[in-house]
Amino acid sequence: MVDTTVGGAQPTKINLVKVLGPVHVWALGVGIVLVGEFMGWNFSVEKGGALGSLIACWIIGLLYTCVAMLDSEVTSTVAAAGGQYTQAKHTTGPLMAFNVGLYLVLAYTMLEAADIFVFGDLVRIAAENLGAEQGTVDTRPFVLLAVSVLAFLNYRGVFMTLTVNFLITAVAFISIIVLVIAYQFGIGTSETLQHGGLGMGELPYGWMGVLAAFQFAIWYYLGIEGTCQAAEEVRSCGRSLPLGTMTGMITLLIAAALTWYVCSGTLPWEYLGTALAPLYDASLMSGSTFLIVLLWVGTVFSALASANGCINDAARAWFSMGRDRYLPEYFAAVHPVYRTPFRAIIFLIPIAAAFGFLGLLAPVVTFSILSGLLGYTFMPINMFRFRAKWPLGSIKRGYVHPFHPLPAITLLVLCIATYVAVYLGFGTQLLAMMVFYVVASIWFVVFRYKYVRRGDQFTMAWPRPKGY
Amino acid sequence: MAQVYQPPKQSRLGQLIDAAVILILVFLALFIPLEMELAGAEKGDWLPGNYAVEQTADGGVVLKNDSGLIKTIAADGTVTFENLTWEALQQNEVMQAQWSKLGYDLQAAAEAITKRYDYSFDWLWLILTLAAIGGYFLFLVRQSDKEYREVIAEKFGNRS
Repeated sequence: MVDTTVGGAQPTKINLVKVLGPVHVWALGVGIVLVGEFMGWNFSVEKGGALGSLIACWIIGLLYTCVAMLDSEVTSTVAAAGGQYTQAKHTTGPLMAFNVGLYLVLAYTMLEAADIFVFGDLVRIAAENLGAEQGTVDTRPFVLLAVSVLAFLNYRGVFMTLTVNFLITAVAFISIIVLVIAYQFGIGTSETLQHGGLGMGELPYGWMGVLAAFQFAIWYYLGIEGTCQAAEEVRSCGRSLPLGTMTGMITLLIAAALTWYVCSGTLPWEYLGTALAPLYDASLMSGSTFLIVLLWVGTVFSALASANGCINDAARAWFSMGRDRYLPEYFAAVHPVYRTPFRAIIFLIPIAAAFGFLGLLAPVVTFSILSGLLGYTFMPINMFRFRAKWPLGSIKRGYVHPFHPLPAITLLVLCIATYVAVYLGFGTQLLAMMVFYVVASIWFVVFRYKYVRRGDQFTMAWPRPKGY
Repeated sequence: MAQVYQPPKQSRLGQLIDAAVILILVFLALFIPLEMELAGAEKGDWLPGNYAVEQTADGGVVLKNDSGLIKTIAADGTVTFENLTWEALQQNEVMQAQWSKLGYDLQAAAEAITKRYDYSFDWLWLILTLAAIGGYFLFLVRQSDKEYREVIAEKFGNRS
């Protein structure tokens, strides 16, 4: 609940509106992530070969299954915008919550920047395929138009935003299935999948390459945990969030397997590992105009759906931090009519666009991956503290994940392995970016925490935590 | 009951400055690795099979493998091949056909194929990096716990 003073009217208490169902949760999670199947995952092929990428895909899939299990339990109990940020406030404390909020905002804002960048490239590719001279297409007007439309959607209301996301994500997902069916059954193309002929059973870098491939195998799933940003806007949190998140995870596992299968059966791994849009390239190899157009549309839709979901999630995390005064409370306003965190939305979009236009794609991707990974590392800590402070039976949980503490320990071990992989890929850049979070933490403790109302940080109707 | 902490009211200018601080930190975090030219694993020149590497007098590099394939990288970065065939690149007929469909001729495909990552790394830096991440989380948990006790005390009152 927040004060809003839009239009100089008397401050009134306005909440975000509860209008979303499981389908919207699915659309938010899968919408953000599916672009990773259309671009990005294939850099794991460059790191470890096609088979190495597949093994990494399975192992990182296990990491994300643990993420989804842990997240579903806590989120189905903590029904508030901000997702893991709000969880951190209740289980660990303000400084951790501030950091988790930053992970979320930066992971999504950077991912949005990468989506925008890719969307521009897809427009250029289409224009050049339609006869435009190479290097003459200025994609910026198209990118600005797309970002403006997405910003308006998000400003206008969460129901419409995620309904649109559902539609375009569904089209993108179906396009992958159609491509696989076309190749598998020879419909519309005489080309066949040739995994054996393309040497897909080999590990060119051995198991070291498999480990290195973890770095980009994350792109198969990065962002699925964003479903819990919708916690305050779903009609039935205990039902919709676990249902939407777990079906989303299943969708992504299927999409990842199909994507690998069709791409590795059509493209030499040395090419696949560096391709901008591998599924689109796989469609080009079919020679079918229908498939080429469909996969171009699917790739564009996936990039837009991801940017749309990222705007939604980054704004909610930023809004939540403003509401708690971890950031300026100016950003905590809810639109009196559309019931959206409109100031947070409007503030973050130009920043993402700037990252996209500045051509900082490599550091942007590094930052997004690192921020996501730091957030996953927090989850086992979160789960251990949650179960210790409120053991099963002490509070009502919407969902209880099985086999505790095995998923939390597995997640922690896989996070450490992924840090090693990110170190192999990014080297000391990783350390330089960690400095950002250390400096931001010190800034919070020294300059920002004094504005935080202590008791207001605990908003759940739970009993006193055990041991405190 | 614990005393309720009343935070100071922050001015609009103060709020603006705080938002700017975060943004500046983010931009610095993005630009500093670029400015310092910090790099991770990079691809190096490679040939199929067993190969030897030689430095030339003019600062170039020559790679020769046991099947006679020679890759020369001149000081200005120009790459040339001798005895280049699909067989020398260990590309079978299926692979050749797919490269051709992608619009790659033998030379272009060779440039893509004869680059590989070198995953050798410095253990000390890896351990330092992991220790830094572990130390960061330890600091977060400990400092957060102090703040959390204030939150709980104000919300639920001091323990009697």
